[in-house]
Amino acid sequence: MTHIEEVNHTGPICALTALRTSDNIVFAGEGPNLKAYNFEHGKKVFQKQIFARNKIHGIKIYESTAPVNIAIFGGKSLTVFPYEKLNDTDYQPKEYSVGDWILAVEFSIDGTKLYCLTTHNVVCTIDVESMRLVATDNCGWKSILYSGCIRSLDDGRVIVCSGTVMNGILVWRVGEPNIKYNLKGHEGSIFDVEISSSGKYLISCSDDRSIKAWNLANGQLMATGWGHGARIWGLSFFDMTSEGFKVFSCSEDCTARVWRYSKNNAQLIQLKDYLSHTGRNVWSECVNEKLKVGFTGGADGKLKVYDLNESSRSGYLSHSFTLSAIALQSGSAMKKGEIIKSYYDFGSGMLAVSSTGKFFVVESNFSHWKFLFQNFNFGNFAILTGFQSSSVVVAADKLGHILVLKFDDSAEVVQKNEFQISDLSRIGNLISVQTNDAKMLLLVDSQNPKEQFLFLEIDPVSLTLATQKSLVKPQEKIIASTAIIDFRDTGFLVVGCRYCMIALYDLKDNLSLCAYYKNKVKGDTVSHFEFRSANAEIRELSIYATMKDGRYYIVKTNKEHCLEILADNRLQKRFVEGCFVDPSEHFLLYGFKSTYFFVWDETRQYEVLRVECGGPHRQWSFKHSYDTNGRLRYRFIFTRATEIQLLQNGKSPYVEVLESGLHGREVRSMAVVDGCSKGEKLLISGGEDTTVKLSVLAENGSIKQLWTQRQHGSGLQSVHKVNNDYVLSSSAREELYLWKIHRENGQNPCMSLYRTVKPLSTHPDLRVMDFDTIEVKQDEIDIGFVVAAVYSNSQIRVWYFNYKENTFKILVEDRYRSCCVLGVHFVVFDDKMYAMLSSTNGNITVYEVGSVLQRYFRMVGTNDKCYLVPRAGSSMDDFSASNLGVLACDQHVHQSSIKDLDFSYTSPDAIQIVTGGDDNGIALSTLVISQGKLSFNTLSFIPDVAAASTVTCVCLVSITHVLIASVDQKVRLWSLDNHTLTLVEDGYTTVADTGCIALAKFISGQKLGLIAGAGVSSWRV
Amino acid sequence: MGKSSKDKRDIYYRKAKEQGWRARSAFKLLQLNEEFDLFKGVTRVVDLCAAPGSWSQALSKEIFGKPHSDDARIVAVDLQPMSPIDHVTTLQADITHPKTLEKILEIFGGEKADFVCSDGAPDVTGLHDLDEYIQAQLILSALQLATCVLKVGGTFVAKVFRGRDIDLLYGQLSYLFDKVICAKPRASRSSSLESFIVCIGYRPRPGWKPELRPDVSTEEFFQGMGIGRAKLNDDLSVDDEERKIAPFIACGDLNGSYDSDATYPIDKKDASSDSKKSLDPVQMPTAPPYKKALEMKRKGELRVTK
Repeated sequence: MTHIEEVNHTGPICALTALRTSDNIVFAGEGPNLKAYNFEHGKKVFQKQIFARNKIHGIKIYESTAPVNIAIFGGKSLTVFPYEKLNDTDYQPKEYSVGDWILAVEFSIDGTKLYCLTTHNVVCTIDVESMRLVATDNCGWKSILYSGCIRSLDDGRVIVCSGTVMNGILVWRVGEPNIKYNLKGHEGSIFDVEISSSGKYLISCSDDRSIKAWNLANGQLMATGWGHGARIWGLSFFDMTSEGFKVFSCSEDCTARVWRYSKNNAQLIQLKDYLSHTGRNVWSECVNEKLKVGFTGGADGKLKVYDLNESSRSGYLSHSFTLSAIALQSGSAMKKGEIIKSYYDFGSGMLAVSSTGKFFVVESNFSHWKFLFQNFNFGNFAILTGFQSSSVVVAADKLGHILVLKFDDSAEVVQKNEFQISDLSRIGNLISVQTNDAKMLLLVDSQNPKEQFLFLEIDPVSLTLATQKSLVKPQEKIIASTAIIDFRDTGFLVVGCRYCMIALYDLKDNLSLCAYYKNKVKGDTVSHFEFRSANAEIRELSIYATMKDGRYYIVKTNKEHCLEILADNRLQKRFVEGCFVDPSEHFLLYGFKSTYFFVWDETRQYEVLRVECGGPHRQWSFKHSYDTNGRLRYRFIFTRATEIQLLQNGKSPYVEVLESGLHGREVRSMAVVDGCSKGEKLLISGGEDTTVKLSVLAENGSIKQLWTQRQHGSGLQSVHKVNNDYVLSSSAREELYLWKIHRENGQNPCMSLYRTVKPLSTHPDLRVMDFDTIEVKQDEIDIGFVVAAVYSNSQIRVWYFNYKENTFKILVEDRYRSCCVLGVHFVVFDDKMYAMLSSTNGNITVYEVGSVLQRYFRMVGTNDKCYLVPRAGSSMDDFSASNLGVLACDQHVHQSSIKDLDFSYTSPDAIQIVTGGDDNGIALSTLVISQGKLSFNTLSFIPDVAAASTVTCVCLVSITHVLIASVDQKVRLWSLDNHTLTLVEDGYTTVADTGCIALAKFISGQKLGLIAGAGVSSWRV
Repeated sequence: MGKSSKDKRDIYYRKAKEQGWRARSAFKLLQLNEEFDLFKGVTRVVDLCAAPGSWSQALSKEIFGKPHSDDARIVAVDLQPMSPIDHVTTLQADITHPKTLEKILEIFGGEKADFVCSDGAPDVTGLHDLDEYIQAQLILSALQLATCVLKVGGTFVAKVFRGRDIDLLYGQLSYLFDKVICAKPRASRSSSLESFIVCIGYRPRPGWKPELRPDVSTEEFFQGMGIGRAKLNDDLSVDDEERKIAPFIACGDLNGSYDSDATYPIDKKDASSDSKKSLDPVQMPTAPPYKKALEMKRKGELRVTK
């Protein structure tokens, strides 16, 4: 008996609430589910579905000395239950309704009553004990509201603030049927209002993208704050003092911000700007006022934690040193025009050199500048670098004087050495080579690009020059920018250069140049390398590489010195200076964007750090480490004008992310391929947010995102697999991209953009709606595939792609009618091959294509086992575009668009097709071949009533059952027995804008139907 | 409708500019009319949420083009200002206010309306459940006025989002009209949730007299009307609301009319001298509430200040 059941959901978080009396718990509403997390260790501690259908939009907890009652609302639904019932797994709270959409709730001071504000500006007072309506109140104005807030005050007053759809905020009191103030000042709909706990202040935000603070004692506007780049959805007060207060806000612009209002200047000043979500919309926020911890929940399903009290954490440092302060502290007067030219952070302190060759050490926890000595050689030109693990700093001047200094934990110089290198005319760069050994290695480059690299090893005991070796440059005018050496396993030295050149040297062959790669990776200067994995046996080294222009790669080389790209991506409008991987295998990048420095968590898609520093062109230093809890510690030092600023974070008691979510906008298409282990699959999903994501799908339905590919320029249309290793994706602007999935033992899988199909027009404006592939093999080995793609202008194109030649050759270019073709599938009967199209005109159309393909290929096998084999003697050069074969069938099935279809072979000569339409209907049809002639018949059609809305998801889960989902958020299982569509089971999904479905079949036999739109829900079939 | 690079993408957008419609939605009403012959014998029309006025334009053209149309009256109501349209009386007013109703009846010379329509949509937030609810409220506001002005047998047409609770609305409308149909014109993209309810044959609820009052919310207006809407019960129990699925009709000739999802090449003759030339919009959009925020952003005034 086939049965369906929802097992997991990830999607928009629309409600968040922190507790006042319990320190480490935050509640979140994700769809109809209530979830609670401990934000100290980051674990989910509670989960229960609260409402049958409605999404949770608000959570309010009544607390005295401990939490007593919890009220939850969403849409027209409401429930209130004792807090202690959260521990009772069998308890199912009862769903109530006030007959109208609820905007806000508030308990009375004694907790016996609950006030509910509806969108028609009515407050329903409810007795909590009996859950009966006690009274309804209004202010005489019942226009529609977008937001509201109720506050119970100690003196018994209950204030209501109602945010209308046109400019005004109505302030009134429960029990007094008149309006106290109609606060004017905003433009457009008011999206949130929040009354301070004392009832003195009100903060509000509207469609005008401003935040306003009001004095409720007199109804006066106190201040307006500007900063958000789109609509603001939520506001909270915190840090209330006699001088003023702070505000935490969240917005459609994917950011959360912190604002300060102080009475003395009467301004709302923006203090912080956190880019924490992707796509669009941060729906919910809250602040734990006692701990000063903020939370946001996004449309991307991410739940982010913010330490709003960072400066009080142990270890936090924020210093700023002007030249005069440095002179004063160090007792060394600065000459006119003298500046700090260079510095190196060695962990326990910082060595700095001035433009007159003065050396300083910044000691005492980076607070005090001490003059060390002056060496005029280092006056006009000095490069500082060093070795983090041993607190050794190396300085070089133009003429090859090298100074080596070793420091102890209190930043005292404990050892010093000097030597001279003479093989280079002038020193251009001094690069500390990253290594997985304790060795201290340097790569020296000359200012004269014709000269070779110098590779130096410094003796760790004596700090003298142990060895020196010239390295052959792969070509002239190469300028090195970074280097990494794998001593432990492969013995490869990789040097990154300007103009995206990478040189490979072999330690096992006396550091000879063994390969160099020009334009293999794109971009400009290679800014950084980081180890990923190495295998000594097969001499395989895989590293992360970042490029200054914002690109990054995972590249792999081996004993044959072939460089393979395992992942490639780009951060838009950012300069990337480096990357690292955290203890939980999240991949982080850092660098500059416009006027600030950032650290970006690429795995979980949020900005970890943002420091306004003025932009990329300056002296700077970034050092990071991880504490025992695996939390990031960093120190960022930069020069702004002539001032040196330092920022170091403290030990955070909280995790940063409680849920990492998925797409920030609607998911449009998904494909499932095998994972690295038997128990998991890989999900490749394409979203309206223009990204393609690679995630791990577990058997329990949970989804963990690994990589977010940003190469597409518009919202995705289709994502399908070619086979387990290759996936295609399509979008507007004629974009049809081929991705390769890379799986390696012990490593997270990753994907790279393998090839793109070149648009045929110079101004591509067509959407590639869908495509299907059929594999091409030679001697049983995959060598390529044939792909048919359909377009928004009714075109159909067929290509042959060959992995080795890495090119798409066009075989067919033709047109159906003028309507948009939405889907295409290859159908094979015996030795005949067809392309089956589905379009906006509601037709299923079948063209014969085998005759065209058979010019170049032989068909082997039939039905879904069919593959192609190139004909002997046929060369890629012979390929030319021709028309489709004969139109075999053009049958009207649905009144308008066929939004989705799935089919399966029922016999070697027949397929069954299930279609879902924009006309709310579903149909079961067959396509049968008999004596070379095709016949199409619709056997069972459920018009309109199959769903209340567009049917967008059709997935045959077996030969006898089809899973259907529609925009009315219904998930239904239909039986196909006796060629008749019969409803078997009816479910509901909280995924709105339900738009695509994918089936994952696990080795255990478990089948999961993934239904996606605004969120993804996993259904066990 | 502004000037934008989307020109090429949507054929109706371009055709609307060429033919002088203020928005491409004019085609949607015209296609609905083709299917249902909505304007036959119609002389009293109320166009709600009318700005920028493309439906009024279509109504004006279709109704005043016919014989015996001298007596016809079209009233277009919106909170936003609208530039004048031939044969159309524009009212800048709130459709839920009783004064608006009075004015409409005054313009109609006391007669009731044959046809009430609304192409209104709220500014969508992206929260699907909230947007669908607000849209339903907008339809109810329009329906509220319709029940006050529509003559028996009259027609009501409104834009709907076919979301998760659309069947509730169908259920409630079926109490008030002989026929309730969900129609999707070809001019409305299939990728959009938008479609139109066409409600034919108004049947006032027996014994129920509609009355607009500012202290009565739309929700309350429909209470007691007996159309199956959920109520506020003293025990806060959840009313089981009736769900009904309306028949679906796709309008616009499948092969004769343009497909709004398809990409069409720009006609050579339209492109005249400059193929990339984009046509000026028929009516400039009204200033958005965030105009000031945009100006500040341009000046770089929105950054965190330290």
